Amino acid sequence: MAERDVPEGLIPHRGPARLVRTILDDARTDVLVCGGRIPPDSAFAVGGRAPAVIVLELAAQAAAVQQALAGKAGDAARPGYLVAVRAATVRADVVAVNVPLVATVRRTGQAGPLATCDVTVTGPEGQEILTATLSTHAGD
Amino acid sequence: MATEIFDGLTVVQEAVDAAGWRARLRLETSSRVFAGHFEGQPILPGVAHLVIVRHALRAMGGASATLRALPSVRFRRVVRPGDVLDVSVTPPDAGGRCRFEVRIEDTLAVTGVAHGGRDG
Repeated sequence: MAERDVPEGLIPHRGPARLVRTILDDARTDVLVCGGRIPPDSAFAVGGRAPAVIVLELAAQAAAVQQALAGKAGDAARPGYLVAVRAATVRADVVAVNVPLVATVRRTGQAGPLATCDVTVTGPEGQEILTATLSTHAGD
Repeated sequence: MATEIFDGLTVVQEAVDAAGWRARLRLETSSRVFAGHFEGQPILPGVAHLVIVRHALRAMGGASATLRALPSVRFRRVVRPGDVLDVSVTPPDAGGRCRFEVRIEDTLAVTGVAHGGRDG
């Protein structure tokens, strides 16, 4: 399907905290692929680079997009929380700001506001930067 | 000038010894980390704690030390502007695992296990 912007207001992240930008593939119910980047004005960026582990935030935001898309249309965006990270592997030390990144989220479990998913974030050449299992809470 | 780990996170006290890395960190209310996260309800992104762990691994292992894996991390309470964080990271054990925790006023905020490595 065609790439499209993440709808404004779907998740509550704004400004330099917003890493996820586009939805690249949501054809499957349990898998979502999003595009994003680390903004140059990120609080974590120094000299045009940021610690690579920051891409975990992109994955978490993609997971929030997936949960929001599965929710009721018209629901207000609520702050969600990262509850746990398991089995994370980080394959780079730093990532350049403003380079295109791709986050793939595969939902593996859901119980009310709690969800678990396997995530992978790749860089502009398709190289794997991070893999992990995330547990998130959709917020109160 | 005080060391910053990222914008607005200032190292107040820091020690590296046989017990590992321990630090008291002050999270300024003006930190850009709260910009847009979230409007009217600012909280520290969970990944910020992992940037602190990366900093600790470098403090213990030198500039080429980096964060390679996180077997487990639990985020137990939210962190807000103005909070003071007491962080401890143990030296790597025989398997290369470091345990870390972040406390705020004696309440556990984050606990976890990290693996370090060398960059490059």
